Amino acid sequence: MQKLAAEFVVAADACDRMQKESCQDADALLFRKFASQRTVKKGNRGGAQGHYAVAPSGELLASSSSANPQILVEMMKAGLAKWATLPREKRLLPEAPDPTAAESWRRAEKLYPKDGLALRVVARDRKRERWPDSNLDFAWFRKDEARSLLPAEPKKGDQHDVPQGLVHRLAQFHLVDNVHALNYTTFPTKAIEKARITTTVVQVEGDLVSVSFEGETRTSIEGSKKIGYAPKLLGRAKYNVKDQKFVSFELVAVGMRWGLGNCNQRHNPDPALMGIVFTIAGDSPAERLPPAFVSRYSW
Amino acid sequence: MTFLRCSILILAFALPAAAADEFQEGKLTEANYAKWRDHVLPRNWELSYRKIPWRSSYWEAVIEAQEADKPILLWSMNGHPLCNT
Repeated sequence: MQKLAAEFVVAADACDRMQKESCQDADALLFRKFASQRTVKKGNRGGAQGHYAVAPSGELLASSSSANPQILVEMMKAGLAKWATLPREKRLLPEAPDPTAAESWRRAEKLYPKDGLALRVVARDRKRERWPDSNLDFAWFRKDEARSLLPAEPKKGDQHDVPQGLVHRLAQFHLVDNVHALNYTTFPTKAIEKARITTTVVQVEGDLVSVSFEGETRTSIEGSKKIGYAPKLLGRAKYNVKDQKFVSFELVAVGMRWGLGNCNQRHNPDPALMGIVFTIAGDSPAERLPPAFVSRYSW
Repeated sequence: MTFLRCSILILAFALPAAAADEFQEGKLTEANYAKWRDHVLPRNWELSYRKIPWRSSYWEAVIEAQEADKPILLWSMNGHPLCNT
């Protein structure tokens, strides 16, 4: 498959915005051109979701909506075969696409805290019900926010309360049930019943401060739909005070979740254990994608 | 059955059971912290799709493909396929 993939420029992107008829962004106009031509006989994942082989002009070469790798391989082969038959004017756009056009719809990516802390957030059930059984998001902290996870002048044994605003942000937008799919149900402030994290300085060695985290949160939406999560949190991290950067970071949340969500493919509302782990993200483009709810960060 | 064989059998069965109980008690503790962390974090095979050099936006791919005169392979989902889908 990798050999086949090398014949393409490979991209992954969300279609939520692009598939909306009202969206007039340049990429969306092109996307809808080929997405509307697609015919899916079986396995449609809904909307315009799936795999596409397309020409830069927006000409559809082949498509599939199946998660089966063999079907994807066949689709790629069919796409390349059609590509080989297209004349240049059908393959390419009449004019080079404008790179600056994307600035209007990729604003969130510019918020990436390159001198702060970017964490990878993975959620998984204790009991594996069905695949996919884990999901990935990111959590961002600006430089000053990252620094505020530690006491101002850390000394061994010091204890420090992580600022409430940051713990609330974690509880509202990151300690959520997205195990099976993106969950549009986040927790409003009034749903927060508990939210605290205490940092303890374990060791100071030169510029390196080792800390541990301990805390708990409980968020609960009442009413006709009862949804909540009540994890205990533990973690450890190392912070270089000279470089003002975390060099390692782990925060583990484990507790009962209950209720369903919005679009998150959770079908059983019964309380069950769910774990969420925060670790330092990498720096490839795929690791710099914005958190799902970064627009709610008040940045 | 000798005492030794018996002990080994008891150990073989009792140890995993004790570990499982500790894991399922529902409370995160220093004792089960690493176990929970390792359970939640993805295995290497689960991350293999991230080794593909995905451009993280369709438009970025259009620009590159137009310049290189190459077709685009696009994976598109509600929510970004490379993070929260």
